[in-house]
Amino acid sequence: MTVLEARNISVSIGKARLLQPVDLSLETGTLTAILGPNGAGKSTFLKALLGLIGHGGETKLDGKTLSSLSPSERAKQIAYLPQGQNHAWPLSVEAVVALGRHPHGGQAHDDQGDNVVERVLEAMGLTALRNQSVLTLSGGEQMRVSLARALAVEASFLLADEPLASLDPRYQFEIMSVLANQAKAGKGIVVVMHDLALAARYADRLVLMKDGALLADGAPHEVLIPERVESAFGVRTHLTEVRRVEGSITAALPDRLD
Amino acid sequence: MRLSASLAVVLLALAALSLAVGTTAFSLDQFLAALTRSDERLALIVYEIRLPRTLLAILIGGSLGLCGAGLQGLVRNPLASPSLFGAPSAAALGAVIMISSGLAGALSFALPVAGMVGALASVGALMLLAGRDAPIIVLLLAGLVLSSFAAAGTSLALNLSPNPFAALEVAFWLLGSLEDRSFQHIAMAGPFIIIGSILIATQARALKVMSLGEDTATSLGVNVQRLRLVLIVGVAMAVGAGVSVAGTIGFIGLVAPHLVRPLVGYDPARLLLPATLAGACLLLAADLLVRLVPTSGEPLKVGVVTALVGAPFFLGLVLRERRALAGRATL
Repeated sequence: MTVLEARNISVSIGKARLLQPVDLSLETGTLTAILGPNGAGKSTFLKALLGLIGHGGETKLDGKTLSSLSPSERAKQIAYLPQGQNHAWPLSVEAVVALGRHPHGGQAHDDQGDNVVERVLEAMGLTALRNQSVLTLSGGEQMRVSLARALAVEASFLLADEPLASLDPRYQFEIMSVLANQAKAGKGIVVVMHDLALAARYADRLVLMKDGALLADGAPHEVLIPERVESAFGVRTHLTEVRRVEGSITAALPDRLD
Repeated sequence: MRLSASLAVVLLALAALSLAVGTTAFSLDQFLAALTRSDERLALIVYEIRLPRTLLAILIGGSLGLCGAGLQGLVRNPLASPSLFGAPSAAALGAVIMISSGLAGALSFALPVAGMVGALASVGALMLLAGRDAPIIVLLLAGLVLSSFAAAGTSLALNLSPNPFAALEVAFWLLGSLEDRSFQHIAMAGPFIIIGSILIATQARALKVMSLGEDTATSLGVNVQRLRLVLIVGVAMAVGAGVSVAGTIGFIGLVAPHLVRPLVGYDPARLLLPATLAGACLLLAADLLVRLVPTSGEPLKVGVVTALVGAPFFLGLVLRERRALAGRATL
């Protein structure tokens, strides 16, 4: 098991503090969903964790400070899926997925001689689209390509920033089940998302944020209780039974404004 | 690779034409006699006058195409080019200050150095001003301001020049020309152009990853700061040195990558070599045109031709990108 640890990670711009010092320990083999209202600091936290923005505190990967690793060592360990990928050029689907191999010197093959790009294209159902330009794809297809690109890194951790945004329900299920299967296969998956029902269904652990600080952290049935959800989002909730892969839980889900 | 091979063939053909065409008309027999040095007078024309001119066109055109491809990859926009970053005007300012102040002669190494310093100042200032993830509109406006400022500086230097003949000579030189350049010019600028070009070429893979944006590129292990620095220094060296021996030659860096980009699947890494070859072909072709068009007085300047052809091309590109420019708030 590998551990990705945020120690006192904080972010300020000028005098405004976007993120209070956060301590959080993330593990492989777990799908962690980060939830919270807009402006809670979820994306900021992911970016700071990876060192994409200036921040206080430090990130440790298996006890080693992230900034002490070389960029390619770090990239081999942690993959990142940004919010709303924008492509500068109409590259082919295959070319974009192959960019995920950059940390490995651009080699499509892994140490076992297996062609990772081919494997990921197939797993994500992109083989038929491989020669198509990414700019001609639908939003759902583009997300599949972006996720395939992130999976091609074969990192221990994947930090995904709102991968479900503007996807239809079918694609939302599809992306979440891919992420859940990755976690089951031993990867550490961290997803920023807004859909509490999907989080309750697929995530192993929920982290609830508000105003740049952690509000709650635990299993879905522990975090999704009426008081917490109501105070975090300012909405009324109702208790619902949510089916999971194994068994089901009772969760407080948003219902109405007051 | 097939594309680069075809471009190389075109380049060789243009280079051969460039050796054969000029004020002194050659028959095929005479040309062959010159090439084989069996006629000393004709050989002198080909080897001492036309060969350096041809080599310089290849060096400068090629490096401009490469610089354009690199900058377009860096800022993730097909409208970027050395001229829009103010690099040639700033390089010209550096060189003009050296010449008009009498600090350096037209054949001194101080000239390319001053050109490179000027170009470095302008491209570096632009990247600083625009910051990270700057919208293209900010880059273009900042570039416009920097080139206007450099042009004003150049005008000031000419204005204050104590010698009107020197000022006139500088003004003509600024138009951009490869005429009457010797191997000494190649020795002055060539090493810097080649080193600058190599610097840009080393960033091919990083440029390709930049296609996904700065954050994703960083997450994939690209050191974006270093990429930016290496490209700025490479462009400044190549453009600065080129301008200091041939004046300002615009638009090659914009047009060359654009012509070949669809032929390499829009891949910013695979674009570099064909864009270099296309740039060399374009400048050689423009320089041939200059020699073939009859004029009554001063011969046509190649910088004038590239600007006359390039400006409408740029306008067309802007019109085509209009929707994308409006829709894409940031690069």
